[in-house]
Amino acid sequence: MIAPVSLPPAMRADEALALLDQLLPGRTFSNLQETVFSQVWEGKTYAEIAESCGYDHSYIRDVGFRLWQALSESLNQKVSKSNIRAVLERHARSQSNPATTLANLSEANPPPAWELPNGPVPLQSKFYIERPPLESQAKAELLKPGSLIRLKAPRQMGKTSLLLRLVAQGQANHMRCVTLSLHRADRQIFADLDLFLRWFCANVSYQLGLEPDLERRWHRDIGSKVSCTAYFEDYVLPQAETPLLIALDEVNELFQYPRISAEFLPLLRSWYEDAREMEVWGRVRWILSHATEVYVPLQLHQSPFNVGLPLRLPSFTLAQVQDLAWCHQLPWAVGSGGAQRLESLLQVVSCRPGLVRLALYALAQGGLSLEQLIEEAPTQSGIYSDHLRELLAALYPHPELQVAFRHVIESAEPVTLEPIAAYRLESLGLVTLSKNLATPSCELYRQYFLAFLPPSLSSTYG
Amino acid sequence: MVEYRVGGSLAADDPTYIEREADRTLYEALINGELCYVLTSRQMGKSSLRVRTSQRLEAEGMGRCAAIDLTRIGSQQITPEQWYLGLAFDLRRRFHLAEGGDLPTWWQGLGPLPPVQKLSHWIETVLLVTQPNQPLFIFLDEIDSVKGLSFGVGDFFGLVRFCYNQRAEHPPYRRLNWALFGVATPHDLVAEAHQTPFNIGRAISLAGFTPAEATPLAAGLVGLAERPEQVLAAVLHWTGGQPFLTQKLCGLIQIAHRDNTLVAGVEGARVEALVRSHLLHHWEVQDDPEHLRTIRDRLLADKLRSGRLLSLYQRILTVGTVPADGSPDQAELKLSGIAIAYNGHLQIANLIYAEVFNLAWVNQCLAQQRPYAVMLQAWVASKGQDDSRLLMGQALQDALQWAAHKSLSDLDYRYLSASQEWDVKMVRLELEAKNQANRMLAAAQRKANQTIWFSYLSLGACLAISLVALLISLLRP
Repeated sequence: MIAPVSLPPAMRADEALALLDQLLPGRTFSNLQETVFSQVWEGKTYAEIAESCGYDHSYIRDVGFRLWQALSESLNQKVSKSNIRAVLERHARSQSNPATTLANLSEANPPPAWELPNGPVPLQSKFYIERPPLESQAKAELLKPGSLIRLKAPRQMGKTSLLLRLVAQGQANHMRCVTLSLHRADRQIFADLDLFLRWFCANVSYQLGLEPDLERRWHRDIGSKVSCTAYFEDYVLPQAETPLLIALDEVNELFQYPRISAEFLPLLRSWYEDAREMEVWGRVRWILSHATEVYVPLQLHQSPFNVGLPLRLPSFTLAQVQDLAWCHQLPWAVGSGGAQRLESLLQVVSCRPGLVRLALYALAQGGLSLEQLIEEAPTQSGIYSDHLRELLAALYPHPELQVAFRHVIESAEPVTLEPIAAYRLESLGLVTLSKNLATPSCELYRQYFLAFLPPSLSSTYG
Repeated sequence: MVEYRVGGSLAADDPTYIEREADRTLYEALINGELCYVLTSRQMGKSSLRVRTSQRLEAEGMGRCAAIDLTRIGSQQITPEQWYLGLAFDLRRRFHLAEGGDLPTWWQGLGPLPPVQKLSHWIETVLLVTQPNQPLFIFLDEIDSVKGLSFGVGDFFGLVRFCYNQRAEHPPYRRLNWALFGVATPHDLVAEAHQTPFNIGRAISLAGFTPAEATPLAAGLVGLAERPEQVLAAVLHWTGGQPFLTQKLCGLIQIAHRDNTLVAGVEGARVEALVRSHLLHHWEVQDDPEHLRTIRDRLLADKLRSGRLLSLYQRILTVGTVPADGSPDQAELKLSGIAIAYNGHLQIANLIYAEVFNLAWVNQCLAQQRPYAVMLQAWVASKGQDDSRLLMGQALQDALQWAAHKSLSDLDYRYLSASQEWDVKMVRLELEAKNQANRMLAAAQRKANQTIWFSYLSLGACLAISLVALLISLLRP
């Protein structure tokens, strides 16, 4: 029987360094290494560390990288920026518990709390993998008055996960935050501009804890855009001096309603421009996430999509996939041998974050070998069946998209598509567009849809 | 660290704001009470100029300013009543007129007057009365957006003009000043001469940065380059001082040379390499924020017009300059931003445009527009052997008319001249066939005539013989 050991709730950086000294008696750290270590421990990004100690960002990243490499070798397990805390805290526990040793650490671990890998990665999750410099760039932009961040990526690339983190960052910086997902709005609000703008104002008010005061403040006689602007300037914005973060997710939903988007998007742009002149609009920070290029014809000066900081969410790198595998306690994925083993998986799903996460989750659950998973992936019984069925259902009402997509997956070469079809397929994440040429975004989709897409009667392509 | 701004307007205190000739002329014209308008292409810094000028007017105590972005008032569904009331409502808020007095109710109280008169009445009895003793400046931005409304706003421009005409008789109007900003020609906005304020106003031309004006931009390159001024000169060589491109290229240099200093002597080559890799290479993809694509779309949008615009542009591109003649096509090229007027001539605005929209690009666009594209393709597929794919008659005349004043590809000319030859040949063949037919017809006629004569003769002979026979029988006893 082992006596329960009480641990401080969180280890401080100096304690962690002391523990390292203890674990690795022969090793000494340079001052810079110690600084990097302790600041990473406190949750700082490399960019912030570089800023605070006056070194170049890439240099600090190198120092960090070599530090984790050295620690991985010495501790005989993969250590990275994202898991250093977990690793050392485990060591602290194992030390206070003489029965466990370094070697049987993993057995000593409590089984990890698995999260179902669908939807955005929750805020506290350890399964969120950072894609530097994406997060730090966005977080820095968020602090600028009147800023606008555009997150652009197809489905399954982690837009909403990043959006959640940016909103949390905003809250940590004492901003009042509003998140509106246009995906979830009732379709009928898109019927009429006035209805839509009133919906927008009411939702922003609710989320800020304000009584929606539309009856008194909305004048149909002056037009809905002027009313909406006045509502913000006279009512919402002056409520507090603190910055206001408005995050709009899935803005591409609006593109289907040209009557709304042709008015609302220019309005957003003009509010953004007003921040240059009017202090109240400078209080607002905007985040817009969208899956495709804007295919509604918008005058350039009216488009919010050519101002602000554009961020395209990239696929994972191999190292990031390995990090995520490590979080899922899949030790076989570590190192260059692991990279080779992962290769066969990545050939099927490419490095799309959503798909990779689902695979690693399934593998971590056990009972399924990698080979089995890959073989079954494009079938009705594979782990992706729900996801694939959903995509099939999304294509179902649109014969023209089916024809276009069939053309893409049947062709060995990249193909040219009619622009709207290309954008819509891209927004579903089915194709990758390069210049005007479309290719299937991963092998999984090619195989599945070749088998399950209803045969087309006639094709307008080739 | 100076941060370059690419896209959107600059705040009045932005360190990368470049003062230009237009800053001074606009400011002075406004305090002299002139009606000013700045009509130029996109991303030339119009809105930044507006922000800067209005802040300067207020800071120097010249009066109060209100800026109205007209895109924000109009929408496709809006009625004239809503538009004019919206404008009054926005003006009231921008001038911070005291709360109290419900504008919509006041407006309704005027009854069935036309909305432009209600606005006029509001300006005279409310705006000018509640803001006594100081000049008022109204900046109207994006005025070209009125073209998207479902009704004409000639009356509104008429009202602006009216405010100036009132100055002689009605002194309070002398305090009211207007400045209009947009991407349009005066004629696009108001067709009727009696309504247009543009012929009584002052046009402020907004050009790119001159090398002297752009000097402050070098500040952002200090520490990154050994000779920041030379780097800036190399930048201007490519951008011609176009504000958006200049800021974008400076920003690219800042990123590329954050860690390695740009050494003396290679400025031109280094800037060129950046231009090629980050602006010209796959420009459609790298054009974010959008700039070049807007120019492209403006040139190609109007199917009826783009052939003419492209051939005019092509001429400038090959010859270098053409004399400015004030034609609508030249005005449109200037509004697209691709060409600028200089010393009475039109020229390409900068080297980047000339490289992006080069001859190959123009030819490709023209090729896509040619009215005989399908036939040409079939002819090429037959390796020029299938004469039935050539143009003839009216189709050929239409094609030649379209091709006139354009310089097209060799293929086009080969095809058109083959068609012409074919057409001539066909006409000749047709003519010959006709002649032959005529000859045959004439011969047949002759033959027929002979036959007829022969018949007459034989008939005559028969008659004569019968007559003789009759006589003989009669004379026989």
